[in-house]
Amino acid sequence: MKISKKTILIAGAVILFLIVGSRIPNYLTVKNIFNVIRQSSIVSLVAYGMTMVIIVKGIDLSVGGIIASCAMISGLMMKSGVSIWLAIGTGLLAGALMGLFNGIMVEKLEVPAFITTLVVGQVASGIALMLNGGGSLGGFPKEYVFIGNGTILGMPISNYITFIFCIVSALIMGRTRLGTYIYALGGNDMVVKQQGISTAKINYFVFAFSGFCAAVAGILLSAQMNTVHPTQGGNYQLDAVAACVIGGVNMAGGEGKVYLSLVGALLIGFLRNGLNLYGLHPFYQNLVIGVIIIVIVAVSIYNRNKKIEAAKVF
Amino acid sequence: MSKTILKMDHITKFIFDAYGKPIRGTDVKILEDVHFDVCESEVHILIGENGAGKSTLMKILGGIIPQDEGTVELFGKEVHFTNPKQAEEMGVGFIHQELNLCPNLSVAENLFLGREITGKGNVFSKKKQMCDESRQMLMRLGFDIDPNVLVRNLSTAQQQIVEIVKAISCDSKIIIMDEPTASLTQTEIDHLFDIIRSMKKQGISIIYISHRFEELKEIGDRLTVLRDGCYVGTIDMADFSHDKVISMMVGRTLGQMYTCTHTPQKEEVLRVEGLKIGPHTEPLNLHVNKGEVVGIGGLVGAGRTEVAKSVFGARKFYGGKIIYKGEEITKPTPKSMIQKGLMYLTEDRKIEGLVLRMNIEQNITLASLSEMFKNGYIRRNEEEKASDEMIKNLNIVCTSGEQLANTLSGGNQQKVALAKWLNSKPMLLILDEPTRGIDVNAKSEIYQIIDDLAKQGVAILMISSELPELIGMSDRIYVMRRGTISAELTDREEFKQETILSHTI
Repeated sequence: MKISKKTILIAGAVILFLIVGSRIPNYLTVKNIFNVIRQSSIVSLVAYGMTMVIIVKGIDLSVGGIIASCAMISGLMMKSGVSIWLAIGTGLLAGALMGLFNGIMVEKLEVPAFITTLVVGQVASGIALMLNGGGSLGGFPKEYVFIGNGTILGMPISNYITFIFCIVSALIMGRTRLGTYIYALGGNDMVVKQQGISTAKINYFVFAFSGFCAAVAGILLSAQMNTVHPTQGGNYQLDAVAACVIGGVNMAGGEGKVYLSLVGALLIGFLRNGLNLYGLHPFYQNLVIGVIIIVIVAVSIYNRNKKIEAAKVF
Repeated sequence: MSKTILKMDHITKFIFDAYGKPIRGTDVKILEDVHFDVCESEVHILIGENGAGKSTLMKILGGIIPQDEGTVELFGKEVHFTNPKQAEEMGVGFIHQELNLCPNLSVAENLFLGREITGKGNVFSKKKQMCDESRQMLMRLGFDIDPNVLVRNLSTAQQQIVEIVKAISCDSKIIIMDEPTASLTQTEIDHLFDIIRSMKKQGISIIYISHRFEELKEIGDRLTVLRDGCYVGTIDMADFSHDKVISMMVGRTLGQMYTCTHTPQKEEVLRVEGLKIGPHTEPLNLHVNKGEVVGIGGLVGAGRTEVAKSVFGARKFYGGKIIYKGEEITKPTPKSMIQKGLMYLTEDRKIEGLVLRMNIEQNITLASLSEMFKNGYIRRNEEEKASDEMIKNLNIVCTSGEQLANTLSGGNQQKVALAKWLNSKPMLLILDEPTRGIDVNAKSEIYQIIDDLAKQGVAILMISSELPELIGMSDRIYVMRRGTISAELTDREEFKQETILSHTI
């Protein structure tokens, strides 16, 4: 059997993970692993939508605002006595609509995704602050908190949500014609237009899906914490971009896999958790994680360029 | 003769910008009153020099751009395509010269893009079925390409084949092939011709654009010549003769077009030894003297631009020696080379040559800005003086130096790009396709400028795909093939299209 370089690399990473992991107390236990996945669920969910957006040569910087505002909408509805499912549904719909708005701006007005999503994110955070006068909200119904903290068959519900969304996103990208169009749009948009495929539908879907994923993440976060804070989204959006990049999504579009973005998110999660258990002061954690992300990204881009260089005739 | 299935009459198209909109203030036509027709199951060759309007005519037929005047009649019905999909549905398949595939998708996904086979509910694609059918399609045409491979990983020739298979599989009745053999090897060409013949038997017509005469005789039924946007004539391939077609294509004697009154001097300006333009290419040598115009010929992709960029320092350096005015240059960079008087007029004026959103004045003084400054302020009147002089000398047609560069016609844009370098007094000027996409008058003016420069002692290295231009202007010609120089022609008597072509392939 031929063993590819990639296999060796992955095997090496896993072995290193196990060796280092075995030296940190309580790291390699099922409970801790489940816990890390649960902690990574927010970043992972955002990363799925982000992966698609980056594949069509965009970026979604509105997810931070959507995480806060959608959770705030659902939270306020629940506090005012609406049933939790209706509240969640409304929150999710709001996220998808905000994403759709991004898509319309990108497609119809040809506003760069960077600008429109940045502004929509600002507006969304404004809504989150405005709705509750800048304060946070807590004390949600038991069922709601159960979604964030409960377990089924020993595994946290958050993890089920993370995996189910991963499977759904991966199916869309890998098995449907829509997925093929998403890759095609990122690879060569001229071809897509010449085939008479509507780029509008692709962009609308991709951005709406990203908004929807961010809303799921926001609501799940508020359920985990039993609180909505109007600025809760900020940290997650750049972590999601980092997860995509670590997972090999090409920022120039056209390339990337949803499940690898999940791996990227988990990698960040395990690192953070490992450093925590190792006893490294939180101040230094960001520094260490930042350096590690830079190294991973630099190595992968260096390899990609080397491959391109080798394929060149002159 | 079998029945006519396509008729294009009185097709006129004004010059347009990058977005397909006519440029205001010009009435330059790329196509003027052109006729073109295609019969059932024939191979109709469309020929003409670069810029003759072949591609534009085909883009109109393919629904990529609309015509300004004239009618298109397909299968007896008048049609107005507003997008390429409509043309495709009417049976017009277009195999573009520049590849139109998604490099990040597999062969099968590319073949079925836009018409995927889906299972129940029209949601999930049947990947395996598409893959199998792709393999069958490829096999039926005798190609052994794995449909699962990403297009990015195929060779250019294989990518071309995928495009051909895609056009055929769309049930096209007319297939436009724009220089399909440009990057194919001889065996692949033979194979392509077998396919074309079998398509003919199935009643498919092919519009074949190519410059390779030997191919045309082998495959064509009729031939139409375009020149400078005008229809010249259509002949049966039975009446084909080399000289006849050349004279139809050229239509004017070389002397009228080109000015070549300079004489090269003895003093050497540039000598390049063992230059490698890529990690796997053979080293090449060349030299240019003062007052000499040296042509570099070769097919697109032979590495001509790469040579220019290597010498100019705008590209990764893979080894070799550059001696410029007796001084060895170890690390060329554009800045240092410009200071030394070596300038490079880029191939694509819109991307690399001009700042389209700046005015003529600002563009012209861009390369000599340091002279325009005094105490840190730009001296407006100096700038104006310099640009007015250039506008006058080069006969740039514009309202004033304040006019924005993107509102100029191609020929005037090229003159502005040239003026930018002339303003900083070059010793050696590398011209990369100096007359691409500009009209005939502007062309001959540019030739005049080149000749004047050579007379003033400027050494000129001219890269060109247009053979008459190379022959008409150069004192010596280097021909490039696969990243290195394959021949040097020093005797003007030797300068024939056939000789140059034979060294390019």
